[in-house]
Amino acid sequence: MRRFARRETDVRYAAEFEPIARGPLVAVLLILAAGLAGAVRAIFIFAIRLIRGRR
Amino acid sequence: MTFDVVVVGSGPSGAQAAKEAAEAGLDVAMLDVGFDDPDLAASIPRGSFAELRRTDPEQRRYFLGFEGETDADVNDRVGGHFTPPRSYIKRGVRELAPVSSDSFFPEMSLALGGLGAGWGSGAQVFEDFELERAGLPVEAMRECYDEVASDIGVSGSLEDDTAATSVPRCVQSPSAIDTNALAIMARYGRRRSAMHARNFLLGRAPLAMLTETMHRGTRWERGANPYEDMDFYGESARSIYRPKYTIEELRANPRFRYVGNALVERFEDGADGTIACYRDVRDGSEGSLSARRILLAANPINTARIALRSARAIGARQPLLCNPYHYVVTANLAMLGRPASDRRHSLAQLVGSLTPAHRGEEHVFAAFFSYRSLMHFRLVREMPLSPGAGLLLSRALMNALTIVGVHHPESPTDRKWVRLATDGIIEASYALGSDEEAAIAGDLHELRRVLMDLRCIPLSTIATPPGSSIHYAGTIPISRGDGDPALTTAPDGRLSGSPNVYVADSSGWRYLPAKGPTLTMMANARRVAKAAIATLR
Repeated sequence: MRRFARRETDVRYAAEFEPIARGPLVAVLLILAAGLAGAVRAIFIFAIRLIRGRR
Repeated sequence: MTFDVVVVGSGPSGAQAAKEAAEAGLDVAMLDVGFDDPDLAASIPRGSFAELRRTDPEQRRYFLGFEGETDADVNDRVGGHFTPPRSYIKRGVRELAPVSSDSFFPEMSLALGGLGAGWGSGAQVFEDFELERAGLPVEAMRECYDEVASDIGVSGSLEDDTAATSVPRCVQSPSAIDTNALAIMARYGRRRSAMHARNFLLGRAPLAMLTETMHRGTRWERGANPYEDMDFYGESARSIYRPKYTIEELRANPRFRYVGNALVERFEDGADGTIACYRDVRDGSEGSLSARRILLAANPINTARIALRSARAIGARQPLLCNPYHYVVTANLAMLGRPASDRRHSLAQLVGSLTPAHRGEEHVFAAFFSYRSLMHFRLVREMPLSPGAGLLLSRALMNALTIVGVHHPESPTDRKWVRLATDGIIEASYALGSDEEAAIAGDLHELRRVLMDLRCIPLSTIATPPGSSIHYAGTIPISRGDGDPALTTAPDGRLSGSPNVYVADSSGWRYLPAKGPTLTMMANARRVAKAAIATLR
């Protein structure tokens, strides 16, 4: 998160942190995409824990 | 020299008490630690938040702090108003004003202006029943509200639905609200009858923020808010009231003396008055000032510490009031994917008053903030997502993100108290009863239904630790006559057992409504100062 905060306050990357305002449909799609990524990550982490637990 | 009045503390109450005494033509001294850091705030370039974020290569200095690479600086949770330029507000508190507790975590300040240096500027008045329950006289308080509101400058609308319950009478025109708040107000306007049926009122927030220039003489000026959205960082045009502006005015008065670096520890009554004993925080040396009247305004916890020390009341339990506080993170559907104007201020845009059936006449207060002037990284760290996915979600939601701060009303119980330990440390304990917890759960349930109706979809409700609301009161309550704690105050603010000492902050209140208490603290300080001054004539 430290690196994240440094990047966020670096003007070279300012565009990467601008709010996205391209209509409600795009917003909903982005939210679904982020939610899907979160779900995949959660499953991945759960699977790794399960595998480690069996060992 | 014996001063007519010595004021302890430079926060909102202390500044107003000192001003009242100085306006009465008395010799006034203010004892205060008074940490300050004007350089960082003054060094922030002019420009809007959005513009500085895009263009200023030095922004890390004020958005993250000079030592912006340490974890401590990026650990603040969402909603933290103590941004790096304001970090001085909390300086020295742990060492100089210690509180020991595993259940209560207050924010305190030894800064010039106290916690008022970071005040969110919500300037609400209490209703008659709230004043009465707090033990404050209604008519006298109404006059003092008017005096304070015209002195510090309050902007607000006397036409909104919340005007009758919370807006002071002397106001400047209301501030412009941002795109997000406009959408919420439009929805409220369309659903007004249904909202009223739910006992919910919404209006523009009354703020101690100027929308018109204020002059006093030729040298003192404050300007209208420039809507640069930098209000959590700098002091644009000095539009938001800070107690130090009052102290600045007072310093021009030859009969006023400000004594900084002075941590008041106790007072001693003498034949001709009272002596305030303090310690110089730079070298630990002791000093004292003699006064005919002392006005304690060091905040309810430190005022209790001074009074208990002076009375040598070790171990005596005094009550403690602090509004329970939650915040609800919501997405305003009307703003999803829509552009938002960068021209805005950062403070509460709207305030809502909910009067749930289970509370009787009591209100729950909700302040609506847009998140736009704070950093993504704080938000992303709260999400159960990878940083990349969290940023995507944050960017998609940013313009719609509405943080609703919810304060609940607070009454004293045996489970909330402070006491003085032998080493000068204040010990505190805070626990809600099951009936209080049920009432709070009911408040949140009803508020979430209202928010859904406003199309602000609640994403998460976050409970904050006791003490987080920064609304404190009641440690030296106004006497009821029976069942009183060791120390009490008289209705005029005089401290029990000490003829020359008055309590000028919120320590005397017996009840804490859910509204922001700062304007009432200032009005009460004026009222108590008037009572103390009257005894000098």
